[in-house]
Order: sequence, then C-alpha cells, then structure tokens
Amino acid sequence: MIYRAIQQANARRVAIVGIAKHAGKTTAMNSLISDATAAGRRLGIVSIGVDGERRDAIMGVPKPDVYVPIGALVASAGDVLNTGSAVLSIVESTGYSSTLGDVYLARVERPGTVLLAGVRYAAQVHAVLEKMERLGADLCLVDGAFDRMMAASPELTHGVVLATGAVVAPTVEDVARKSAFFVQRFALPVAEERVGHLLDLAVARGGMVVGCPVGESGWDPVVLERTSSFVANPLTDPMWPGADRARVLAVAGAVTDRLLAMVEGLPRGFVVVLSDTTHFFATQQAWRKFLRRGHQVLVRCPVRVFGLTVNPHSVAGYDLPRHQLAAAVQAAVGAELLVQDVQGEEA
Amino acid sequence: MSETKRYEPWKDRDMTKVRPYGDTFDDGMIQLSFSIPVPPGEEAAEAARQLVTQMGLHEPAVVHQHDLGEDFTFVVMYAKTKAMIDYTKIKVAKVDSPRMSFYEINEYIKEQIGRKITIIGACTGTDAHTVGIDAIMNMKGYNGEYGLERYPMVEAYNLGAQVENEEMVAKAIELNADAILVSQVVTQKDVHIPNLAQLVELLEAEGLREKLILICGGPRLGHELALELGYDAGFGPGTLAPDVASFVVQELVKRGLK
Repeated sequence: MIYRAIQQANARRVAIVGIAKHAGKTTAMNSLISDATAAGRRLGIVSIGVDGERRDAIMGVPKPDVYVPIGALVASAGDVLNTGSAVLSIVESTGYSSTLGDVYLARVERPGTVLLAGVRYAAQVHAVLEKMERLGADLCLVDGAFDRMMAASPELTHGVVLATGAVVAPTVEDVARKSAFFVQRFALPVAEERVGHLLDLAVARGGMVVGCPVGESGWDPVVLERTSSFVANPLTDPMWPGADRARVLAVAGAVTDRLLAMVEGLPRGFVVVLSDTTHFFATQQAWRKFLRRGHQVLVRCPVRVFGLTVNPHSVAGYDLPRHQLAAAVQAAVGAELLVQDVQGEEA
Repeated sequence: MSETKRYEPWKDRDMTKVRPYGDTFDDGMIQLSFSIPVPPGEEAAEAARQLVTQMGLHEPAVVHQHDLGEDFTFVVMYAKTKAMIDYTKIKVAKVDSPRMSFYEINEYIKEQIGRKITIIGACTGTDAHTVGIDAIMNMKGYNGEYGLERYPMVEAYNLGAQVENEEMVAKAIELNADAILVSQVVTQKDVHIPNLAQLVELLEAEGLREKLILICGGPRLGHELALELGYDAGFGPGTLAPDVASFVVQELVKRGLK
C-alpha cells in the first residue's frame, strides 16, 4: 500500500504526478486521503490546476470528485469554494488571485467533495504549503495537472506518487513501455557530493558552472557568463575552459535535447548535472544517444517515488484487462517499485 | 374597464430553471443543423430524427434538407429538450479587472509601472496560423483596436509561427519579458495541450514562471483550461488587444512585478 510507504519515509509533503491527463491522479489522491484520514493525519490538499466536481475543460467528460475529511485544509479560489458538498470555513487569504477569484485557505467543517482551483505555479504552491503546515497540517498532498512534473520538485515535496493508466496507450504493452520510460526519469543517478557542489554553485548564481578536475578528486568551478543554455551554447561562452579541461556542466535551469546536442561531441565521459528530474526535458532518443556517447546525466537531488498507480479505464472509452495491465506495468518498471491498482483495491 | 393582463412569463422568470426559448417561453426548443452521409429523401429525414431522439431530445422535426451531392445531405431541424440549467449556480473563470482603452492602458503603465513593459507573442509548436496573435500584436490591430505594437508604453515582439517552446523561453530571457502570449489556433487531436504544458514546465525549470504573466489564446482556449494548465489567463475568440493588455498591466501591478 502506497500510503504505508509514505508513512515509513516520514514524508510530510507528497506530490501526485500523472504520466498523462486522466491517468488517474485524482483517484490516486482520494485513495491516499482515505488512508491518511484513517491513520489520523491532518491533511492539507492543494491542486495545481483544477480538480474535482467539474467537467473536463477539453473533453467535457466528468472528472472524479475530490473527497475531503473534516479538519483538512484546502486551497481554492473564492468563486468555487462553495461548489462542492463539503462545508468549508475560510481560514485566511493566500494573497493570490485567479480568474476564479482570490485564492483562500479553508478548513473542512463537514466532509464532502471540493473543487480545488486557482493555484498555478511553484512559488504559490510553496507558500501555500508553508501556510498549511503552520496551521497544523502534517501531511500535504499536491495534485499535479496534466503530465506536469513541477509538483515533484524536491524544493516543494518530499516524494511523489505516479499515476499511469489505459489513457496512455491502447495496448497493455504500450502502456507498460511508456510508463517505464516515465519512471526512468525519476531514477536518474545522483551526483557524488563534490560534483553536487558545482550544481549548488550554479543554482546560487542562477546559471551554469563548468567543472574542471584538479588534483585527485577536486573540481575547479568555472562560472559561465551566459546564464542559460537557452540563449547561448556553453561551448562558445567566453569563460568556457576548453574541451580538454571541462568534464562537468552543472545547469541550474532546464536540460533539453538542444543542450545535450551542444555538448554530446565532447570527449567521452562528460557529465551534465541538474537539480532534479523536473528540470530534465530530454526526449528518450536524445537521452539514449547521449548515454551511448559515453556521457552521463546526473541529478543533485533524487525524487523519491512512493509508488505507481495503474488505472485500467481510459476516458477515450475503453478498458484494458485489469490484472494483465498491472502485471505488465510491474514487470516493466521493476519489482522494487510499488504498483497499485487503486480502483481495483477499492472495488 | 378591466385591463387585460399581458402574458409576460419572462418578467418573473426562475433563474434556477432555465431552458432554451424557441417559439414560446420555456419551450426548450433547439435548432440543429448537420450533414449526414446518406442520400437526401424521407429516409434521410428519419435518420436525422432518430439521431436527435437518441441525443435525448424530443419532438424532432426536419424543416429543411439540402442535397450536398455524393450521397450527402445537409439537414436543418428543430427539437425540444427537457433539460434545464440552474443559472444561479454557474461559476466561470473570467478576468475581473476592468478593461481599459488604448490611452488608459498607456497612462496606467506610465503611472503605475513607470517603465515600458515587454510582451512577446507567438504561435508555438506546429501551429502556423498567426491570425489570432497578429490581431493582438500587429500595429494595425483588428476590429477598430490597435495592436500592441502600436502602444507607446509596450515593447511588443511578435515572433510569428511555429516557434519552439525553447525558442520562446530564450526570447523571454533575452528580452526580459514581462508577459508571454501563446496562440494556438490549430488544435487537432489536442496537440496544443502538451505543447502549452511543456512551456510552463520549461519556464518553471528556468525559474521564470513567477516573474512573468503567462497567457494563452485561441478558439479552443478559455480561462478555465488556462488555469488548469498553469497559465494566468486564456483568452478565447473575439479578444482584442486592450482585453489582453488591460489584464497584463493590472496583473503586473497586483503581483508586484513592476
């Protein structure tokens, strides 16, 4: 059971990230809410996007309700605060506004369904989580939107529950394959401490730092003039120390196919180090090519994956065989990862 | 002489039970028109009636059919619905800040922000249809409203069509943009969704998202979908430059991004 893994890890903030829209994030979150409530946790629940009670904004299909227990804290916009069946009382304003009105923190007075909307970006999530914890929440759940990974950032949360399902592909094999690739991104190897320090420096400077080996195992950090690979190739930067010296590139921002292509021609064994997997945007092909050249992509902070939920139903109107799907996904992602058919468990 | 009371049921209409108005108040009458791939004739009319009945409508009546050739028929019909809507419970995502005029917006920027603001716009991904972004950005504007390029207090950059998300982020960094406008007109198979979502993720990873106003627009976009994607607003059809600019400048001030 995924909740137990969260409890054992002592995680107080958990993100729920879907491999695609309608992969079953909300169902996964409801399952966590119910387990955590039974365990007496005081919950804080926030969604990046729009969750519960309404029809999907694109397909018009109904979305699952979000059920909240008494005492839980939620963040949502004023216009939709009273839309669900739960009775809420406003605790304080977040100071953020949205196209659905100002966003408030509210406490659940009578359990029921809620609509969560209005919180849009990482800085807002961060502030909302701090407020919720100050108000007594000891387990906060952050529901992501679409296939957005941002909620999984270690700066926001202590780990993630991933959701996959039939919506990803029409065959069991393809769902398993695509899920495995998605999970792989969370298994990027972690940089050793001294390489990690190069990344810390890059983050502190808000840019890119090149590591040149000195002595036995030390690194001479070279801060590049250009702060982002989006605007300049690191290899043409005035501070670039040369292909013979540079062994590591630490990137505070995003790592994309374009960046990997810029540095893949360097001598074998080059290392790109980034903050965490939410900064990794490379496609499978570009990543594989980079690895084949003998290079590495490392992260400073790993993102802990508590489990993967599988939803056999697709909103496109078909169902995949439940047990076969769970088994195939489990085989593809490896035995160490907890795979759970949340709906099957409920039924 | 007693005055005959006029029949005016709409005067005290019940907003919790709203149905379409066709011939008489509250009759639930709907007009439908569509093409079906069958030859014209009585069978075509019956097919149309059955189809509409399956949709849950009743009293279907075909009032017009037209031969489209190739055994296709265009049908116009009426039918009634029993469904009703509680208007008082409707909540939609919308922009609350007041819409200002061209002159008011420039004045507002001068007074409240005290510097020119930079707005970049483009059709991103595979989309090559710039009609939307051009209407907002171009000097000549659209429908009697100047585009953002004409605003003395706005540095407007229209990057054009098929701009990659990475390129968009690069421009935002290079120009130190205050706002990004993304237009998505052609949206077959919902290609616009992953494309719009990826742009937010890139901006978050580059640490830019909280520093700018992020807006999407297009015929199949609205404020609710924008909210779901992590955008600040999503403008639909009929939007003009002052709608967008009013929102951007007031949002900049509200968020302290001066």
